Amino acid sequence: MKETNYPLVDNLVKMIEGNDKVTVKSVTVQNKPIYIIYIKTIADVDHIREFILKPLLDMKAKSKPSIVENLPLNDLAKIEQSDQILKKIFNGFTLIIEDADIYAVNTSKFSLRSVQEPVTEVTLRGARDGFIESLEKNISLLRMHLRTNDLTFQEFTIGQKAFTNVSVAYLEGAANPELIKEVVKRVDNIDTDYIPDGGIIEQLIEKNSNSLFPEVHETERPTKVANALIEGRVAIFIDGSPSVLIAPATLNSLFHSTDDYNFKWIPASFIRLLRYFAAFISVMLPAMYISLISFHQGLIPTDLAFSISKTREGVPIPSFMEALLMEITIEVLREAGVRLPKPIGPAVSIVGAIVLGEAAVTAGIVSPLMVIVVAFAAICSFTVADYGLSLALRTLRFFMLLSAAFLGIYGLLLASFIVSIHLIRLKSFSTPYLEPFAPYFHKRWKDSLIRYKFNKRGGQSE
Amino acid sequence: MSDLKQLSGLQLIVVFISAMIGVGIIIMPRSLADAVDAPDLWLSIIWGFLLIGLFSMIIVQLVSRYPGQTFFEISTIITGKYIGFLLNVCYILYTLIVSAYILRVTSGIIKNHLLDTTPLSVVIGGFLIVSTYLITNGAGDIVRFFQLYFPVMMFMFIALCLLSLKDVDINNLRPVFGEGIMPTFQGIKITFFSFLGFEFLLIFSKVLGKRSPNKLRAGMWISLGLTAIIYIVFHALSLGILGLEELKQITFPTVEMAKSIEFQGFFFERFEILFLVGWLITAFTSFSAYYYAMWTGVRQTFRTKSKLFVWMVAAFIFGAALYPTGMTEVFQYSRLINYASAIAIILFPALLLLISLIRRQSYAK
Repeated sequence: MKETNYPLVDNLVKMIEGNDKVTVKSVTVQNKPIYIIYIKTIADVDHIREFILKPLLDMKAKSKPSIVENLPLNDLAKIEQSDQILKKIFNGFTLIIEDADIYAVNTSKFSLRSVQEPVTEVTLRGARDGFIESLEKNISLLRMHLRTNDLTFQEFTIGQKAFTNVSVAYLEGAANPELIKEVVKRVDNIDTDYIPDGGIIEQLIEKNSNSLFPEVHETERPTKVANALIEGRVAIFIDGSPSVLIAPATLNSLFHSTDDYNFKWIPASFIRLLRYFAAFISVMLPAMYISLISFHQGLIPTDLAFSISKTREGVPIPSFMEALLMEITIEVLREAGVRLPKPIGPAVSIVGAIVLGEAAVTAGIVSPLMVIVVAFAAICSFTVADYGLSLALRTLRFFMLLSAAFLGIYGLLLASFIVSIHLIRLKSFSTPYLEPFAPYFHKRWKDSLIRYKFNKRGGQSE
Repeated sequence: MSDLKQLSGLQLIVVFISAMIGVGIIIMPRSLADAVDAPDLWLSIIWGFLLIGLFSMIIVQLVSRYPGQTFFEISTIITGKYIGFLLNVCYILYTLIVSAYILRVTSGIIKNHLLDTTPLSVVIGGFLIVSTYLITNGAGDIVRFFQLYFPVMMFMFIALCLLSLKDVDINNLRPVFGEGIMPTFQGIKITFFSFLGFEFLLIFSKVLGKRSPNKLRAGMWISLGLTAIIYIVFHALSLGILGLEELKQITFPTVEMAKSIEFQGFFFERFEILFLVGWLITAFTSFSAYYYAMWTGVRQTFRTKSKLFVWMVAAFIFGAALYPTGMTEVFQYSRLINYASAIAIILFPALLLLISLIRRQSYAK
């Protein structure tokens, strides 16, 4: 790169040296050299030509002292701090240098996919747009669903080696200032080399990293974020990630789905109760079955006990091992289904369900009742909408299974005590995880196990 | 530590009911049947309730004179450093005995009905470890835990009552006052102690905040009353289903009563599991209450902040719970425990209140 007459530009070029994608152009306007610096791959070259270069070349003598400020650009900003320079340029901005002043214009044009329906979160009714990998587009999506003056963003850049733009969003007035402070503090305290995705941020800002349960919601739906902000929660947008984090999360809120609000309250509440019940079953059922079979045969109704013992005839392994075997098989199948390309995914489940299950029973390795129990528990776990929570419950199931294998119903009860004590202790951004059940908040029950009807003003939270 | 500043009225009631109902509900019917030997034995529960209500007022009076202080702090304030220390050690011993007793009876029942081949020490150890996990984080967690499981336990009990209702033979409950009112007074010495757990107020005074004594009194009467109602219902049911003579023979009549429920066509034919689970929850809550009381005592008397101390406390309870060789021996100790409780819950508070009144000492505003 050739030397220029300006030390400022030389310095700048040195800072970005070795990066051959940086373009430096100089234009002489009214006998004054003006330098334009941008990165070709992430800046909109057409835009630069049309709105920066062309006007500069056509520039006539104007009244304003600065040439650059005469350009027809709407978001031209002067850079005051030198540490901003690199951040701007890697965000796709174009730098324009005139004398000792550096101006930055947003000319970014990253390659992005279009807005699509999120794959992981399906709803039956309501908006189908999903976040994409651009912070700016995501914010515009959110603004479309939430048109209010109160929506506030605080921006951060995180990362030592490569930086990521992170934005904390909240509604002024709705969100608790303490909560905002806490989220901002935790985001600001992140000290790491590189943030590839929201999941990393999630793990860096949570306090109980040894807990199974997620401390924030992760969503790809703008409507969900809009609802959360209205409820007074705080969202964290991460540039380059379609997942937006919502804090705080409680066990109750993790069970909710946007569909709950889109249908009439009685069926919606029924479905919600069903979901809680299914989650409970998915964690407890295999363990309960094991404890009844191997410890408390006397508690099984006589007829059922007979038919169970008949189906277990010839099964060579103890029922706990049998359950463990089936559970691991199910988990393997599920993992395989997730990792495989879409067209092959269903094939795996067919092979798993029909061929493996059927053959295992026929071969006498597992009892058919065990297959029913494990399969039903697995299906129940699919009703949990939040993937973080569903992972937690899947892991818990093994814990329950183990305690039931050691101490039967007693062990199961002790294990549930341990889990509940853990949940009681757990806090997500100072919000008790089991709110509104323990601590008991009577007023918040309207949107917990049931979803009580909206009042005429459309609100529910009072 | 805990973030709980002040108990609400509802929390107060839930905590005390959870602390009170425990082992009593499972062994009281038999001992009461032995003592009263009349079908109107449930009347004794009412007398016990009235008596204990009066004694609880002493504790309320004492506690409201020293807001935000536990028994262990109050005793030192009133009687000075050395006598206070002595009182505290006695009280700690009392909580040790009672918690070990609850633990032993509970694990005895678990061993009897659920896990007949598992070693007793494993059953006791598991219970103790989980309870340790609960209490180490302070009063707030305990209250929340009680609150969370209270509906579960109530649901189990109510379900059990409704299911067993059709098996009740009303003739087993008659006659009332058949042998006069005197025999039912005999039962007081049994029923009185089934309300043990209310003295938890001496420990939980820490989180009572600025609750007015009148509200506290009302809270105590309500929780004692509800507990009495639950006891009466269970006694009436076990008496109605099993009859007086059978009641005297069986070690754990309430479990037998749950066992006897026949409800064909339902998946669970056997309902004792429902009862045992519900009851295990109450046993856990009342044990945790005493365990917490003991731990608080140790911490405040010996002025230690270390959480490792809790394992020492646990070791003591573990040893004490394993000390008796069999269930019969455990029941022999129960009379001793009753004497100890009488001293700890009546004599100590009354004495302290008296001295406090004489010295006109009060921290209440």
